[in-house]
Amino acid sequence: MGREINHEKDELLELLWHLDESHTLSIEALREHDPTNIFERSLREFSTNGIVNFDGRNVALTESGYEAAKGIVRRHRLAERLMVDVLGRRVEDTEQAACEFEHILAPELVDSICILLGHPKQCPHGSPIPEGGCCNEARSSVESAVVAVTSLKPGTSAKVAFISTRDEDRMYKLLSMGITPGTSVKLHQTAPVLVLEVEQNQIALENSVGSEIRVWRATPGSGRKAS
Amino acid sequence: MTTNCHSSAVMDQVAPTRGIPLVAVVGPANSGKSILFNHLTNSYSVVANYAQTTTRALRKKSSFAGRESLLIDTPGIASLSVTTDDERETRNILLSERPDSLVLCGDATALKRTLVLLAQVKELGIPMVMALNKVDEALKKGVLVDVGKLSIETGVPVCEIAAMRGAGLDKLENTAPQAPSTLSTGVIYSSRIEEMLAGLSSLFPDENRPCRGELLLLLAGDTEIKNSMEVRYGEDQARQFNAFLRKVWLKSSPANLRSAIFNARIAWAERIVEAVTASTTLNMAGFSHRAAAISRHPVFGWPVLIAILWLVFQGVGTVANQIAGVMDGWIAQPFTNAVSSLITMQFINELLVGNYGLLTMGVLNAIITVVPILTVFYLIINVLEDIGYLPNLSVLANRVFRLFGLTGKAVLPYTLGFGCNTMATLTSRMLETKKERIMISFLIALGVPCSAQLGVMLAIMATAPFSALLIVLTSVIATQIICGVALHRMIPSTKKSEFIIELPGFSLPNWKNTLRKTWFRLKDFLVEALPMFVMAAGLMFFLDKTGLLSGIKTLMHPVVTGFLSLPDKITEVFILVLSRREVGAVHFKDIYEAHQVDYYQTVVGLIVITLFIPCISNTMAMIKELGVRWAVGINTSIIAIAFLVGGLVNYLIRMI
Repeated sequence: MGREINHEKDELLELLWHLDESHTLSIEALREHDPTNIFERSLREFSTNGIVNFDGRNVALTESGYEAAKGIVRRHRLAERLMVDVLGRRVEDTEQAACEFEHILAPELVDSICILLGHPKQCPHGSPIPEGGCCNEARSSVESAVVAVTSLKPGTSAKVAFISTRDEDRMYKLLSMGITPGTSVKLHQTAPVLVLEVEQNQIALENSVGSEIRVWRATPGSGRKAS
Repeated sequence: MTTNCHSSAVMDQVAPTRGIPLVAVVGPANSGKSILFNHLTNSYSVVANYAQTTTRALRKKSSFAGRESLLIDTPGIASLSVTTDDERETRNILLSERPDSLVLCGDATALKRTLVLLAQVKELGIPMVMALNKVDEALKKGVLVDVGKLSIETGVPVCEIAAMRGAGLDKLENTAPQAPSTLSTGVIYSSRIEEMLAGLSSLFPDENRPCRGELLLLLAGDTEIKNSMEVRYGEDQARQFNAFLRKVWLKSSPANLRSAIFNARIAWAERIVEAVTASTTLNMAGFSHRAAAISRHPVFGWPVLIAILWLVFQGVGTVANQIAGVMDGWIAQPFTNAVSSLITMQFINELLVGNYGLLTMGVLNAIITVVPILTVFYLIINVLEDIGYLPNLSVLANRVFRLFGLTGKAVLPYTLGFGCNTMATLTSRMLETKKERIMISFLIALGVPCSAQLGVMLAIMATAPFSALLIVLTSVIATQIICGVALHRMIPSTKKSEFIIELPGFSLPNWKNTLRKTWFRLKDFLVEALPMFVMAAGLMFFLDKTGLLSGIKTLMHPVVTGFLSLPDKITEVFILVLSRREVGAVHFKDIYEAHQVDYYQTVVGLIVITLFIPCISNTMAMIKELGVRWAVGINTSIIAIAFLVGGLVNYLIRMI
């Protein structure tokens, strides 16, 4: 069951997925990407492992190959989202790290990230993120585990998951007021502006700021801090 | 700057360079620094139950810990990363002036934030003692703080105080500020950051090395500290550390380092809070929070506001004016008559008690008319401040101020404007952007009458038909909204500032403190305004005697009479408003009471006085906060707006 880490094969699988996604999967297209033709040897290997159907001329992903490729792409695009949304990186800076990520993330960890991000549908570049098991489960349990504090009902409490803002000053202002990941906040009122209680202190802030404060939904055992 | 803060600097080593030791009181917002400062120096600076009451540092010589010292009260900060001018002042005091010792005023009800700040301030290596305030309030909220343990964990001596009551201060003075020892290093960062720090530190000469706090700021890409270091250490050294920083930043960005440093401090603070606090089930804070919640409720908040405004109107318009009437009958009239009969020399008689007499128009107007009004007004405002109403009002007001590109936070300077425009303009520095400061200064100068002026005007309107009040109020509010929105459109926004503000729970006003504060504010008024009243009277007397007054009246005739349909005598009011708004208003009241103006003229006159040019001291405040260009621009447009709106209303009401 253990996924062996083999970067080259992962890259090839990812390429196959991309071509398949854009309906241009053919040997010619593959040659364009890799004129050295080294891929053909890997393809034959894939073929014997049941990852692709390959007869020397036509190439197509098998069911299991499709799933494997989907996993890689999902990891890559979730990693991009993670870096942009949570770590506040610029989209163009994420490529290198996302490529590393896609090879090393364990499947359980991928789902945790997906839950943390609220089962995003698209990567920062706008391409669809393949769904995982957690997304289906989430759909049946209706909502994701991490939501904006604005979507809480007045009178309820929740723990802060992270602050998703591009404005550094605002981030430090919130942090220094005690709104830090792991702290419990209570929503007092939503109109005309939000009023939060943090450590016995009350803080008023506008909706636009509140929507950047993401909290764990207060359902027990909903994957809170997977560690 | 020759202090080396890695050596355990003792006060005595540094003191001679400055004469007497410099002791700064610092701390997070609304932790009670100013009350503490007042107690330590036996002086008075205004305190209130909300953040950012102190917007500029206050210095006072006093004996501290048995030594003659210069104490500084500073605006509250959350960290050395600052966003507004008042916070920057505190940062500059800490970094550039380097006090010899610090009193960190901590807030037991917000212990984590206090400790996050302590962690950073401690890294500056200045001997420090913590005065932990509000321990009793924390207990009411169900949190018990172990002060002894806190002292051990932080490595800073901690004294429990209750600044409101002045308790625990003796002990504070006896606890000498302790230099940071090697035993308690404070926050230890990840090995990666510690290595960078060591590397950066080694670039500086042994005998004059920047302190850990400065190195951390430098590492996190703080440009201000970088510039000051370049000046302090010269080009060669600057080239070295800049090269080092560039190399470090290739691997991890300054923003990244900054957040790692910040998170480490938070984790440190959290660990200590966990260790030194115990929760009790006792919670008595419920009522104060519920009361505060009602005052900012989207529905119930408005009746509360209207009730308060009604109270102000009744208090100032009716109660204060009746007091003034009684004082006038019992004191002013007999006094004037006595002086009048005692002094027979015509010229002196007129100079003292004539139309523009120094005593009648100067001293008596200030004391008899203005003091009762101010007393009532300040009593109400001070109670509201001590309760902690204003920040809660900002929740309701946010949407209104958004019209002008401001946030609800602007409610604080705006309301202060009703006390004194000048003071309010000076507190505008608590707002984040220059645009916000311009907007609030403009709005205050344009349509917010100061308390004395407001009181006099309310007194006039209380006896005039009710429609006068409605027309004046509508015109002034409409003018403010239209001009405010227009100005907001005209000034490009550089950065949209967000509304984030701390709300204090309601606390019952302490009557002794409230009365004390009212007394100090009245005293300030008399000291500042009484000479202005007398000088204004003298000016009018001079203009009248030399015939200049009739000359100015002739000059202004086309505008005053032609355009506004006001009698020529109103020109006197306009001249007086320039020197101080309320002097003009009082003179207008005299004219009104002498029936020299009719209904229409009363309405137009009131509108023009309200909108008219800010007084000299407010103009000076604007120059100080915004620069000459903006001050001139704002004043010129306000004169134009005042006359245009006056003319328009004059035309409209005569049509109906």
